[in-house]
Amino acid sequence: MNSGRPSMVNKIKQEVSFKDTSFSDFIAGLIYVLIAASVLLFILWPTIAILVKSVYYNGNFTFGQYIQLFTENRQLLLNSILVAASSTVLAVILGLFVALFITHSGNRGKKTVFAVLLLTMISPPFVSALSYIMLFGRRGIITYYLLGLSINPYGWHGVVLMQTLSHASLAALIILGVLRGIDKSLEQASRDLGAGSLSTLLKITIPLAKPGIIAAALISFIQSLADFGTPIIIGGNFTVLATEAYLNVIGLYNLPRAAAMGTLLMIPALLMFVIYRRVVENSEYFSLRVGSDSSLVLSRWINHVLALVTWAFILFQLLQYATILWGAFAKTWGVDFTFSMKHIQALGMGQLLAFARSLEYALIAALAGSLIGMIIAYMVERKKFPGYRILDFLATLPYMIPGPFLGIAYVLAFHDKPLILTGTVFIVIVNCIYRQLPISTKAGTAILTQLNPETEYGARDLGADEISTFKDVILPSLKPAFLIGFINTFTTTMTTIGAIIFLVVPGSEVATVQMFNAIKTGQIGVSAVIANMIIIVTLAVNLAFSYFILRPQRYKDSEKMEGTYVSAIEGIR
Amino acid sequence: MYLQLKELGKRYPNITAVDNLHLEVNQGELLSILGPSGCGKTTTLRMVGGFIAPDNGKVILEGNDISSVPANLRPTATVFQSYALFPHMNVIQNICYGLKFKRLGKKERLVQGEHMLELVGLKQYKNKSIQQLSGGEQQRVALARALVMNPKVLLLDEPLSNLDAKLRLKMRKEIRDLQTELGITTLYVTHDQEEALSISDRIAVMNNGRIEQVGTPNTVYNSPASRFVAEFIGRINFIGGEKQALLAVRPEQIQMSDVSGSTPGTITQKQFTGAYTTYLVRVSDGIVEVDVPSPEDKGWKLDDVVFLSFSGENTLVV
Repeated sequence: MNSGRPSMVNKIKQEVSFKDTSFSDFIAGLIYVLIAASVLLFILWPTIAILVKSVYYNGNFTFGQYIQLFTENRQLLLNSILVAASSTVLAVILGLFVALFITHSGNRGKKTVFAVLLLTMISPPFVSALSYIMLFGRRGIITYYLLGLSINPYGWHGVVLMQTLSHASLAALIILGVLRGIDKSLEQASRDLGAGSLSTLLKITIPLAKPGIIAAALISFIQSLADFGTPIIIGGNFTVLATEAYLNVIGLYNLPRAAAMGTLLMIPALLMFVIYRRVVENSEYFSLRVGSDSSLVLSRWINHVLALVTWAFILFQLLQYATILWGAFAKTWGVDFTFSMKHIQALGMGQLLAFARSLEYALIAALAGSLIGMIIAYMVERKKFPGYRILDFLATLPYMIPGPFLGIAYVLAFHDKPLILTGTVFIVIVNCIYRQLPISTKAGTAILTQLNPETEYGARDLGADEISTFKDVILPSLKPAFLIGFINTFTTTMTTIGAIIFLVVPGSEVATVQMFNAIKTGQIGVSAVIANMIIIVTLAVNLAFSYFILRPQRYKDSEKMEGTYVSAIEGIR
Repeated sequence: MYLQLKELGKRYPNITAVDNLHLEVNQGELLSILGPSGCGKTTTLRMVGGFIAPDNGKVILEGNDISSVPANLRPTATVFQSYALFPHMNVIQNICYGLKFKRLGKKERLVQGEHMLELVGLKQYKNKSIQQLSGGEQQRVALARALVMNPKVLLLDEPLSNLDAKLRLKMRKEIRDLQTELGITTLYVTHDQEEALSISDRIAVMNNGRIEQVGTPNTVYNSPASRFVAEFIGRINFIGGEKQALLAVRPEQIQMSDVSGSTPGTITQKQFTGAYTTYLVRVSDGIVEVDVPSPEDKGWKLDDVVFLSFSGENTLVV
């Protein structure tokens, strides 16, 4: 194209500079290559590193670590699976109740319930553990002051309970999305044929919601395996893979063992994913349309049961936040509940700097991560470069990988030549970006598949080069997706501990690590203050960003957002 | 000639979309590419616009081969079937968008955009958002956006297919008026033969990736080069064929009378369309459609016996 250009093209040069646009196209091409390379480097390479390190170390190739885990440490594996399975089952059931309440109970408090569900997505990692101690601990409000008991709260029951409550929110949202997509006339047909409301729910509604239920179960299971914060605080002597992995890396520096544990953590996740794909992708009635709530009228007692469970759940969630808030201002939790500002005043430079760092990392990661996600979605949906399917798969991979696994993987991948990045701020931010890439990408894809490609042709027809087309036409339409990517990445970075704990170094900690340290040393008040700061700031930033992004648009944003969010979450299709 | 498509071809895994296509367009003319769905006309248009790369052949404009010039640099402008208006920009922003890439200052862009806006009769819609416009108004914005680029070739891809019947008639006249006034060489893709007949300088009839005939509307209608063209344009009767030569006769070329004619028949159906009535007459070897202008209509009824005649010079031998 560059040699022997006809004079026609020279005439065109006077109107549009040929050199300029080909330069712009070159830059665009460069960006695509860089992003694809970064996905290989920051997703594929660490995954390979951890798999390799678990079987090849000290110059030998051996399965020794795995053998040891399966023989001497069988209890550890069983613990992890037991806790994950129990909390998953309970969380999904609870989520189902709440989702059914929202879709089937008319307008009674539906919006409040939904709002609280969204709020709980912002929880910092130790909120449930912390509130658990504050409510059910040796001197907990409920156990000690209300019931007069002085029990040992640590153990697996606490872990299962708190994980259930944490994961039920997301389960509810996912199942809700699927319920809304169900063709309502199916329920009506069931009633028309004589079925009562309970039969309709059990035989029609819930089976049709199966894809969502399975998706929720899959995600809860992975979240439980990945959960490091809860078991380490309230697990006591009960250990799981996530906590053991942490101790092996931080305490013992036994990387091969940690690698083996991390790999094991990933296997059930991958397995469930395969099952999910097989079940969900084969179900014909799995619809990602944004639908509406049911008009099925339920019998009174079903309504009461759903309402009871839902409101109890909501109240308990609010109780957690209230407790944490109270804890920030109580002089000495468990002993002296008089109002005091001393914890806030005691906030040292260290903690404030850590908080500032959290904020900084979260903003950078959210903006970069969202943008990268949009570009990848564009590359996969529109450009279809050779190898785009691989890129798509890799971009989705982190979703199935538990946090601690990825953290350890990064340590293994980047603590040696040729790329020594551990201990840097860069690697922390990169980890946060690429961990959340699946959601940013899928949100972008969800919208792109609905955009008419002719609009992009129109821009090109009028003279737009690659970058202008993306900037002027694609990006504005992707606003909801960008927002979702931003909120998701920002929130997870502010509230994450699982992966970050392996990558931050003493002296450059983030807020969640500070909170962890405070809880470990029994400083309830301080940790409560930090928790509140994280919650408030995260909420504020998310709301502000939503407002600025969505305000100029006058379409039905909430429905479109909801649809796009659900599509993104379930979008591993 | 101004624009030349030489041996253009495009193949997809299961189908040959465009097959060795050869077409020459004169400067300032409106040439329609007419054919049924799937005949390859949109693919051809997209190859001229630069959105699809041909497998073989060339696109030559004013003597220069622009086959490998990318879409954003070609001096063509397209009005897409879906209009492809940018949803987040208002009317004037849409129209002025392409002018940015011509290195014009903001003021100049606005002047040109407003001029074009007035030309299509949408002056008061300047700041409206796209969603507030009706189908016909959106179409005019799409047209203005393409025309303001002062393209050497204007490409229209079934621009009227999303509009209702009455609006279609109005818009096709407006498009033709605008095209004539500005004298822009235009390729107009459509499946509506009446549309093509009414506004084209010439028509290229396309079928299965190939052009069957190129000619003026008159030529294509009265002297179809193939059976396909004869059947696709207007309505036609095929008479004879077994013992005699096959004759192709248009419904309006048949005279119907109570009294005398070469072919007797019985009326089986009657379709009043306003200016004329179509009579379906059963003759010895099938059904013949006859159009009788209303002023000459004798008021025939079903089952009436009539006589048809068609003179030699009015029949088409295909």
